[in-house]
Amino acid sequence: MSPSPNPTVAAGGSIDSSGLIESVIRQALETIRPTATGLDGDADLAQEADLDSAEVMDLVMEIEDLLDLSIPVETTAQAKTINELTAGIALLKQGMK
Amino acid sequence: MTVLLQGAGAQITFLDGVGFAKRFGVGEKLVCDLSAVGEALAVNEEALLVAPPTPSVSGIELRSADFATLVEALDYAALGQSGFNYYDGRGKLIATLPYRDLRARAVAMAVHLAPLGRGQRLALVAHTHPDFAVMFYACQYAGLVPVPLPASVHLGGREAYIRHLRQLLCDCVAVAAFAPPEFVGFLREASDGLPMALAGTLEEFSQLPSASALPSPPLISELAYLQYTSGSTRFPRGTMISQSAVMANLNAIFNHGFCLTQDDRFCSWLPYYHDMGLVGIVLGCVATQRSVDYLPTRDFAMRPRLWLKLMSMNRATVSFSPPFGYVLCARRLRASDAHDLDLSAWRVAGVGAEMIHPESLAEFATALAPAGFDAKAFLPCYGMAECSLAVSFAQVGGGASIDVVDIDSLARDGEALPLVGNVLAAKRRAFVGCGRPLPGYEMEILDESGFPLSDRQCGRIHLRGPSIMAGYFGNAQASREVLSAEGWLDTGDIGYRVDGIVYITGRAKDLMIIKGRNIWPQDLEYLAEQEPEVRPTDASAFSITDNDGEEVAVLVVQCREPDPRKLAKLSERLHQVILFEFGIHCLVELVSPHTLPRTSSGKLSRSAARREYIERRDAQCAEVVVGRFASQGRRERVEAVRVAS
Repeated sequence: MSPSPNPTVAAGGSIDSSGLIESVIRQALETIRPTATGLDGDADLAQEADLDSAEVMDLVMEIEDLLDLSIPVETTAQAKTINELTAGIALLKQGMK
Repeated sequence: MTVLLQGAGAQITFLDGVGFAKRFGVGEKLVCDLSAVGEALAVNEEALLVAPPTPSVSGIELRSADFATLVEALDYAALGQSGFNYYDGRGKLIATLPYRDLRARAVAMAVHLAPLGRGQRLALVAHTHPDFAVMFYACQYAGLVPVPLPASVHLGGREAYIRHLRQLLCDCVAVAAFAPPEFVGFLREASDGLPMALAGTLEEFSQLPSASALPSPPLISELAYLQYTSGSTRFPRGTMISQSAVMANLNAIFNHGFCLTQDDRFCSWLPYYHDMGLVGIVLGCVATQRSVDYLPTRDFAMRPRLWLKLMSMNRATVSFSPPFGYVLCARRLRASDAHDLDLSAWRVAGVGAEMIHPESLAEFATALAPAGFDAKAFLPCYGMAECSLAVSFAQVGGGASIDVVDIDSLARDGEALPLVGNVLAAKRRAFVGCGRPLPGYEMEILDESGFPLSDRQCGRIHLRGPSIMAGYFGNAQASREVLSAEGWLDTGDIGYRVDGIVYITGRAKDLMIIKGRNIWPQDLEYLAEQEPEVRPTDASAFSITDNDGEEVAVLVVQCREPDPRKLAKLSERLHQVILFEFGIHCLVELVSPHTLPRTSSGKLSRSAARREYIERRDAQCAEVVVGRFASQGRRERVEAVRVAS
């Protein structure tokens, strides 16, 4: 459960690219549902990965820990897919700069 | 106690003369433990990042909820030092709200609310946030009726949440609605086009024109709040609770349920829109001048161990949770955690709001024993929003006492016969004692014809007493269904008594509780009926207990479609739409037309549908039974996000 920080993330600097955020989401997803890492970016995340709402909270926690940020409820409420979640988190990180 | 020092010129001096002064660089922080050096005499303004948490000892004589109204309770608490403390998902203190500040801010806000009209409903999105407390008590001073609304959204669930909010706003005919900043976007959208004076944040409410003076204080007969009781998204029911009802309940809880001392301190992650979180903790702690450390429910769901960390850090003595909260914690613990925690001060570990399985409590107690947690701290209780909150408490300091009964006579005759000696596990069923009803309650356990039953016979629990609701708001029919003309409440719960102690064995009402979440079958049936292949009254939902003893939702749907591929698709679609809307896994069974049993009046019978489903299931092979839910070993998956009352 204890996530070793993603080295590319921990390195800091200009790391907020969508590609990196997406890979973190997939990394987090792998710990919750190993079979779902190859999920299509536009597929419905909870449904296709078959996550109930407690598992979704686990996923959000994993992402928060890997990226070391808090994901507000507004962001998760608007994201049904990996791509939407990636875009939402990218916006968050931009807002934090 | 910890003080954070930050910024140039930060300085702190202690009573015992131990000087501790240093000029800090900009942005530099220091955390120092005051308990190591004594009480602080002076802390200069630059030093304070956040005020320290409010002390446990209020400094005024403890009064145990012996007030006539919620306003009187806060007026008294405001004379002391105690209050609310808000922690974030990293366990960091982000805001404090001493009761004296809560009162001052509520009174200041009340003059802006009073013009909205006495007795009108003000909806409050009940996120764990100091602004909610201010708005709730401002309503009290202004003579308005606050209506807490849920503050919980699924992944991608923006639209569903907005629909739900909108329906509740309409149901309670809100004149205005508040949300803290994190939720105000949802609220604005939900209120679009509704005839309300304002849907906004506390800031915006403070801009409303003000009355010249505070209105007269609330009468004990006036409503204190509306509390939505069910998780039903389409059939909401708001319990109307008067000042006298809630105060009668709080008085009984804190004088007969469990008594408090000057040193007691609460810690809570329970949602503010849950009766246990709102009435038991928010209102209860104001009425007993206790300090509370709050963790938002969403953060608890993500990081349950934070609950224990906060308990340990501030030496909290009282905390409540539904059973699944204890289960979630126990399963997330790491081996080293228990040794880093000190839970020896935790003397009341309340447990209620759903059926209590003794094993889950034992698991928690065993895991946390190295941290000094004592299983005797468990305090089982029974209650519901229709009774303000609590009906009964077990004996304080007695832990969870169980009654082991013969499962066969229970199923066959509804009799809970005690088992003694070594009996096969398969023949036993253990129930947790929830104590005797609080003073003021009359309790009857009735059979199906309405005749009172004697000890150890299972029947429907009926209650009468001063803390029972006035009815469901704007829903005379639903009120009549549960409240008799003589004031008896039909709880819909099934249980038995032994020497006055109540044991809850199940529910007669249709409500399902799946992983701590209230689910009403009509909501699942409605979803099914939205599918083109399904006609009205072709779906029946209920819950069964799986092999692990957990409640699982089942939806049986009649369908005329002959093509097996299309059937499989429909089944999959229903499973997904329920997962999306409610965040639960549901077993879906498609059957041919005229399979579902009906009552003599032609209505679908959920209990008969359930019985026949179990018969079909038993007749088939286990493969179908287990289904995707249980087969994936999701026992530990616990819903903590939405704990509707």
